[in-house]
Amino acid sequence: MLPVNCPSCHAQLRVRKMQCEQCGTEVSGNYELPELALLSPDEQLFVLRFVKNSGSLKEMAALYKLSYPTVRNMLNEIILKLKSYESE
Amino acid sequence: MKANDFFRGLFNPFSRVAGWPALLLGLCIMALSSVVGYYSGAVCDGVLDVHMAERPETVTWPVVFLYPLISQACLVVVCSLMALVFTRNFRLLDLAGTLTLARAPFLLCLAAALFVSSPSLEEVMADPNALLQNGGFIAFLLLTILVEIWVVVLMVNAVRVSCDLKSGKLAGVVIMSVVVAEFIAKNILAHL
Repeated sequence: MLPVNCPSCHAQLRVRKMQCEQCGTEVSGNYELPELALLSPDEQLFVLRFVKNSGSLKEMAALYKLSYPTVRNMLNEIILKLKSYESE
Repeated sequence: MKANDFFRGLFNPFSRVAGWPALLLGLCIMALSSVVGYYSGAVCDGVLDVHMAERPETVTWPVVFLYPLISQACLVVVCSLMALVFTRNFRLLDLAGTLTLARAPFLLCLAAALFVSSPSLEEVMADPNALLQNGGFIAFLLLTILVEIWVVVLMVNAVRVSCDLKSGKLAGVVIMSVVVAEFIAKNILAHL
């Protein structure tokens, strides 16, 4: 799992270096993590499944074996989280 | 974990059941409650009311079916209007279904009334202790209190899940809905 917060002070981590496994090329810089990567693994999985199910909450409810409003509330929480990342 | 899941399901089944399944199940349980109520002489004549009729002949088939149906309809309409003040992001079907299923525990009270005989008003007027001396009636009262608490918890969770309301807004919507719906329902039932 990709860590997104500092284990010492819990500040948001940024990407400094990425490496190509094929040829060993390293790319250094100071890159922000994409907003989706800031979500928890469960939330990222939810978003992935939501897109794969064409945005159908009904199908998501069937997939998670939860009620429609429960799944909608989960989506609302993710939306709120993403909006808070945008405003930061 | 299984025990936790069981108790969680008792007080908040709505994370798994809402919409049409909840509405149909809730209506079936209401219908069964009405049939049981007819034979036990008890009626749900309000949003959170369960009463044993003083005169059994007043408990007719239209009474046992219409009274809870009208009370529930009032609650659903009032609650949805109250919820609209804070959010438009809910389906009426989910709110109606979860609130209807939330009434299910009343079946326990109506079934318990089959085994209880309440002292008549004349008996109580002659001797107020007649109530305390009737152990079965006291047990029925205690059961009713527990069931009322259970139903209120279910109603709160029904609104919370269906409308995604929290804390103050949730409490406000539930309290106002119950009070206003009870007032409206009682007025309608009084004119029937």
